[in-house]
Amino acid sequence: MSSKIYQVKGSEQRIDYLLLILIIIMVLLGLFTVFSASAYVSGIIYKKSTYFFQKQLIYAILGFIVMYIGIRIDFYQLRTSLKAMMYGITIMMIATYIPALGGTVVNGANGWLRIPGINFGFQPSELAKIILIIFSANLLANPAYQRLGFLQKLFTMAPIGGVVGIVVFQPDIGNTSIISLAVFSVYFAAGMNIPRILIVIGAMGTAITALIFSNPYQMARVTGFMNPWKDPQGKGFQLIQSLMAIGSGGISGKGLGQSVQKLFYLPESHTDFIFSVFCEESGLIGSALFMFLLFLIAQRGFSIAVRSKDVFIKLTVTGVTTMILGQALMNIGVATGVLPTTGLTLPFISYGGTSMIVTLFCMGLLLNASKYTNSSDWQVLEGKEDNN
Amino acid sequence: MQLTQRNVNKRIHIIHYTILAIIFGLLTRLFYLQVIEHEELKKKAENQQRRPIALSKKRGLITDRNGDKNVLAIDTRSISLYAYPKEYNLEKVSMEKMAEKISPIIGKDLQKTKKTLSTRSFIWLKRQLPESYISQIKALKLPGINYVFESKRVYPKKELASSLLGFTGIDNQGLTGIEHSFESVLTGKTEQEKIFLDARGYEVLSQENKAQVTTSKAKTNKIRLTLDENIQHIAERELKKGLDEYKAKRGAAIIMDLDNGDLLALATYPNYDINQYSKFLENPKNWETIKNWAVTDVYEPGSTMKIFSFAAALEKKKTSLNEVIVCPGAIKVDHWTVHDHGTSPSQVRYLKPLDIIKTSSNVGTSIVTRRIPTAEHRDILLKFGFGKPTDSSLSGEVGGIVPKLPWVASRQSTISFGQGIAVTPLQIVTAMSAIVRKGIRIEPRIIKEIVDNDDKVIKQYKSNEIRTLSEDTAEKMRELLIAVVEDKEGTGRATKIPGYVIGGKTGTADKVENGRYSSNVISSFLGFYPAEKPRILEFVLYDSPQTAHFASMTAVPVFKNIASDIIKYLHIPPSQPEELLDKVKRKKLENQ
Repeated sequence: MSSKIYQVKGSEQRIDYLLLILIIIMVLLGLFTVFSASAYVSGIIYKKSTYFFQKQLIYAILGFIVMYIGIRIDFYQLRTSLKAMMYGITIMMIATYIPALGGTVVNGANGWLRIPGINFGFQPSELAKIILIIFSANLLANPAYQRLGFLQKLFTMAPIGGVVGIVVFQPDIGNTSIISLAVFSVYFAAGMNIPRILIVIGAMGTAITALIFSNPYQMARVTGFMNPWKDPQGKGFQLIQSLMAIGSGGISGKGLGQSVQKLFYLPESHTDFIFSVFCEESGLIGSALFMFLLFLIAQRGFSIAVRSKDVFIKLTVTGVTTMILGQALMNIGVATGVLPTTGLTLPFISYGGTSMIVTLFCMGLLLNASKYTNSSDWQVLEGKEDNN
Repeated sequence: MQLTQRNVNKRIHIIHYTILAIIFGLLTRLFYLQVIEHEELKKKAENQQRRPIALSKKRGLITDRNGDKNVLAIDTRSISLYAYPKEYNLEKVSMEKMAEKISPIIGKDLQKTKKTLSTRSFIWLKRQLPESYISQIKALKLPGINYVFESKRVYPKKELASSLLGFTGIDNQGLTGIEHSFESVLTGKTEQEKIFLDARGYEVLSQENKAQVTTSKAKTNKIRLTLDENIQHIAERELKKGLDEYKAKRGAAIIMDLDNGDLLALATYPNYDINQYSKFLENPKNWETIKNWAVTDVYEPGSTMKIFSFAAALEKKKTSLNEVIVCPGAIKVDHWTVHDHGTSPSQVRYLKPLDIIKTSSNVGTSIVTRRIPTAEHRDILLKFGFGKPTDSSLSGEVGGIVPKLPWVASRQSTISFGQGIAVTPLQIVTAMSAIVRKGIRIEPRIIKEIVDNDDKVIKQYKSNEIRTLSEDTAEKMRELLIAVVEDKEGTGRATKIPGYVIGGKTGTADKVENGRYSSNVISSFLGFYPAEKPRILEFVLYDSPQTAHFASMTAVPVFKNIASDIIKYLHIPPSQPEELLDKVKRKKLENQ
């Protein structure tokens, strides 16, 4: 497939300040919660209660720098350098399996690259999410794509399949699901017809089920989810601890910093299960407020998508918003026991550098896109050949 | 489908609303968990976050008869130091350094401390330290070393009534004395205090030095004894003086209020500081001292028994106060010779009952008592309360021995003057109450009442009154016992307190040691005052006095000292005030 890239561009406006404020609130809330959730544990393990907080603060600063890049980046340039990005991410993903190249196994899964010299672990799959969204948005925004036959369309998905495949076999069901969800949202928005939607959903369901049954680690997670109280010290342990944390928060919570479950009871209390600690401390008031913040982000994100004039931007913004919110909702679903444990972090809130940086980069792209909404002076520009 | 703005926006809206629906769904789930399931989940969380450790029991007060003013035993707050090895093992703290810091506080040497610390699970390092140690322990700043507040029994009056009160163990459980026999009354439930732990089993509060766990407000009861702290003190003080003077092995004094059977003092000496009991018990010689031997040990009462023999004979009309009994210096009963002190076997005396008692004649007592059929004699002794424990409910109290029938003549004979029968000092006092209370014996009472924390009386103890003798017999005996003391030749002469009439009887019994009579004696005086209308029954006894044997030279002066202080303390009015006046006049004359 080869055709020219068309760009719809109007004059620049101010970025969406409401969204920016939302992002800042979320990041500050995250910093605070990381501190609260990790202080006791890190005080004992690292002899410094601010150990995780300080690192997270650095990640947040790095994240805002990356967000600024996201705001300033040119969507057109983004599209033209996709090929390099796809190769880059593929190489990085493969490198996670090779210890000599810095590949590290964490919690029984490949997926980490440890950058030599600086003590910084990095998860390429986090980066893969955003690259695959941009890749599919670019693909589907190309008018030539609509003219392709079914098999040709399937063929164009090969790079996506390749990258997702690596994630699947890391194995990382959480990220597999979220990448699939994000890419699917782009395809869905781009007008995928109903039968194919059903096929995709069916295929994804089958694939995830197969993955779960083929892997005892994942299987344990699911049985623990189905009936946590059956094995409260084993498979059900994490979920039970999470439910106890959330439930004991009550309406008004135990007070900030007063979580008990974070005192080693709840594993991953500052990463995957940080929401439970947040709920324990702030109660239903806090958790409802958090859900409201997610609601506002959804409002802003999809509003930008709808108001964008360029189809590529529309699809990218849709994919990014779906990804961030989808991940947040899946994380909360896991913590509240409506989804099996996936190992997904809570965007903005969970401790972790890659997650924070990628999330803020995504937000940068949203803010960037918000500059090109509502302008009446837009025009179609013809760019160079799309050779992706 | 055409990729138009409109079509794409439609699809975006679908995604948008789906996400909003999920947000709403999760919000519902959160509401369910945080509101509806809140209590259930909170309970479950707290169950795993708190672990019980057994703390010492909380005990109620023991006071004298005047209540909370005179506290004899009280719980105070102490701190108990413990180690939680999981914690310091994980942090790899040097055991050597920890032991160095801890050993001076717990008073163990370095090696022992190290050994204690190297345990695998929770261990007490030192129980019940004074609260003043808190700052020292906090300054240690050692992981896994912390303290809880516990109850510690303290006896403010130290040695006062020590054998009666008893003491408590390290878990504040009563081990002897009142503390033991009234355990269930004094204690609340054993405390199962919950310590706040993190998932590794570390105590969380220790990290933050917040409020400590403490023995909570368990429901305990107070015991009000019938004891009067002052009278008990007088008794113990005088006992000590006498003991030092006569070099006796031990001494006891029992003071009974004849109105109601209340024991105003139940003293044994030597006593000991109850607060230091463990140190005291390190010497096995002292093990005998901690028991309340006025109720746990029996002795052969000797001449004191003659009171009850004559009471029995009078009751059974086998003699009268005017009868003159022919008493040879010695008589033979079943091949055994009974003889009187200070008389030659050939000397024959003509004695009335008063003379027999006064001179403590074994021969006369034997002759008169053997007129009573043995079964009746034994019955009457049982009526006096011999052979079974009193109602005092003191721990370890024994009933003594009244030999079973049939009695041969020699047995009845020896029993009549207090040999071959074993009684406790408290039984003697109880039996005597029948004589001075117009024939009605009153059981001793040591617990006045049990009150709860709000001073509401839960249980009141009433003394049983038992008709033992006819009033006539009792009154005759009482007068006889007055005469015994008042008479110029009487053995109890030295009890004389100006202005007061005292009745009573000395007893000097040969002591049975290792199955045979030894050279040691048990000297006692059992008396009552004011004798015309007795209010107080007082019994003083010395075991194995060395410098003097006879009761008249040991128990009697001590009895007198105690009695005169009690008379002053209770403001007992004199029945013969002229004696007091005489004394004053005499003094005045002397001064002129």
